Amino acid sequence: MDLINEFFLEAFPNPERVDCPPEETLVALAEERLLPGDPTLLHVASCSECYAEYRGCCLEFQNKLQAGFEIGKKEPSMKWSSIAADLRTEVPTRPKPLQGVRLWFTAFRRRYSR
Amino acid sequence: MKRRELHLIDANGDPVSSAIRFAVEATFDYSVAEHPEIDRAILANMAEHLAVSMEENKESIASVRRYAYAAMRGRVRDWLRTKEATELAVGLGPELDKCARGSYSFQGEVDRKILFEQMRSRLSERDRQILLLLQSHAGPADIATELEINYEAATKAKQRVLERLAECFHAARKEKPRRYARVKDLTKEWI
Repeated sequence: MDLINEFFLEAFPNPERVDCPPEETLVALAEERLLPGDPTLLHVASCSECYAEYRGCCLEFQNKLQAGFEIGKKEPSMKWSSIAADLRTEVPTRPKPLQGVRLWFTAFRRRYSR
Repeated sequence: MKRRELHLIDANGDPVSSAIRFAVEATFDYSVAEHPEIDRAILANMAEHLAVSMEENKESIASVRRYAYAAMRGRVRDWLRTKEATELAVGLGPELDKCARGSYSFQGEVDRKILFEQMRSRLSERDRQILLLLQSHAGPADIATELEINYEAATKAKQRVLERLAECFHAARKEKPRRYARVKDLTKEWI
């Protein structure tokens, strides 16, 4: 695949950047945020400059993901301040479907039992 | 050398603007990943020079990131063209040669150009799109989604692209022995 990489990097020079998509589109392509069938991929396959940028964006995205994963993986610290902060934070959880129905029924009863 | 070890300052010794710093760091990472055969220190040096020149001309740069990628690629390409003759590949094994890309020669360059031209003429736009997807480790299902076709058609398209590639490589391989035979004879004459 190194040769294919070099092929895309060298075979389609476009120094004038004719018809190149904006930077944000390439970032979106690298982060797989574009809809299927978007013409950007077709352009990237025919422009060495955009291909290089796209590769760079992919690498950045991978690094970002890796960094996020490492932050998520980090063990909780044993400092009192952080433990207290963890205890204090009550993350509101979304009720499960059955619980939601039950809550709705109780609210309904309360409202009309008066 | 890690990314944070890049010493990005302008000509007056002040730190460069954050946009330039991010762009240069990103392009340095990209160059390190793309060219493992080049010493990181050399790439870091190029990145630092790039940051200085970008800081000097920052008013005329429309897109910092795009400029950084293009400029760094150009610098690396120039370095590979001019400095390769002074490099000595260590070791004789094919792995070492491959690792150090010891085969950077004029002959190799021409061969590669011819091969790329052949690939370019044989592969259509759609084929290249599929090849690009394959390069990012996409399977037939991903190809089907991207090209909005069914799974079977995607499998066939993938197969067709690989066959065309194989044809190109096969043609390139056929030509090799003739060329090396001449070189061999020449060496015999010298000996």
